[in-house]
Amino acid sequence: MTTDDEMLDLLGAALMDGVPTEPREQDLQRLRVLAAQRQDQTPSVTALPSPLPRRHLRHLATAAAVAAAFAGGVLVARDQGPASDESAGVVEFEQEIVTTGNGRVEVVGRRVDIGRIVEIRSEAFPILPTGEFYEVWFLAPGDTQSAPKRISAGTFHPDLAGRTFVEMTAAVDPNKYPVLAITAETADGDPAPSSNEVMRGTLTILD
Amino acid sequence: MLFEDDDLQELVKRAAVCDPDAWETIFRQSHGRLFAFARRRTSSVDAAEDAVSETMVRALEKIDRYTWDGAGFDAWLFGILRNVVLEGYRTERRTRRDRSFAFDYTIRADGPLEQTVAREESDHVRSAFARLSPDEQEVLELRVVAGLSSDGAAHVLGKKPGAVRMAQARAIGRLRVMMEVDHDN
Repeated sequence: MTTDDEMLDLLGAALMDGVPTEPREQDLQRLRVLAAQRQDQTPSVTALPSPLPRRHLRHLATAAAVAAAFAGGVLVARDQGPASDESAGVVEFEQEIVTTGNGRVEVVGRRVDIGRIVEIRSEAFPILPTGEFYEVWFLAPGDTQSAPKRISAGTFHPDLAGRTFVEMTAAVDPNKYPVLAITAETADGDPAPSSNEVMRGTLTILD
Repeated sequence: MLFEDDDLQELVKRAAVCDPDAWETIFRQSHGRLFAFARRRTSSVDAAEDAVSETMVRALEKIDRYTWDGAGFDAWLFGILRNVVLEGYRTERRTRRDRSFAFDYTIRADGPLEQTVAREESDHVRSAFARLSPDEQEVLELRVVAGLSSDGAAHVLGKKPGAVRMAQARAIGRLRVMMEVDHDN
């Protein structure tokens, strides 16, 4: 009879059988570039340079505080260093979308080396009960509740003053997923999008 | 363990100041195990690679918040990966309800004969393993694929080490029974 250790060895060999040991070259280079970028910045570093106009900078401290509150999210907090127009990426959309409660939400999307950066700024999202949060979705044409075609860009909640300024990285091409929606999610452990949609708008892709 | 303790502390120190070479070393050394864990929970090889790549980027972004504890650096990495996979799983949930893993032989690099022999041996184990519950599979994978201690696995799963040890023992027992049933048949 095999011992527990022998069983584990056998299982380990079976589960690791055929697994590629080397990462993809593009992934490796991406990580090196990001590390080098952070290495070059100040101690309150960020992964990406800021393209925001000066009027936006006052919100960044709030953004950093909100970002720090996210567990396992995809937010990237940025510092208040000088903007670098050379590496700001390409703005793909920049517009206002109206929430179901008639509040205004500013959304900006940029294409950068590592993917897409989405900024969301609003004072229209109500503060949710503890544990609940908002989730940002990119929707493809034909998305329905029963047959969703959507990609989550991450989750957020407003700060204690009810302001939202968040920045997310998302591996989404807005040309293929041209609708931006935000749902309010409860802490029920169900990963499916809730039916409580608080904002939806079709993105106008800039040339 | 992904790394030897002596080397690991020095490596993490360099990673904390965003040394690209340190991050490349971490990525190369941890890739196989991270991939194996991700592959069983994603729908394709590319999706698994994407999950591992995203894990490394998030680790880079969070490294200044990493603190040494009993769980270890590798448990921290697998905790990030688990979150990444769960987030990806959310978007696929409606179309992929079965989380069991279909092994992808196209990623094997051996010759035809070696593939056949290894496939038979591995198939026997994997066949039994596939019939364990998802929780049993995960707790064993964290042990044999991730190479985590009970403390490390407990950190990833958000459970107590004693509970993880018991769960592992039960899962091994169930795996043994499944393999014996297969053998008898």
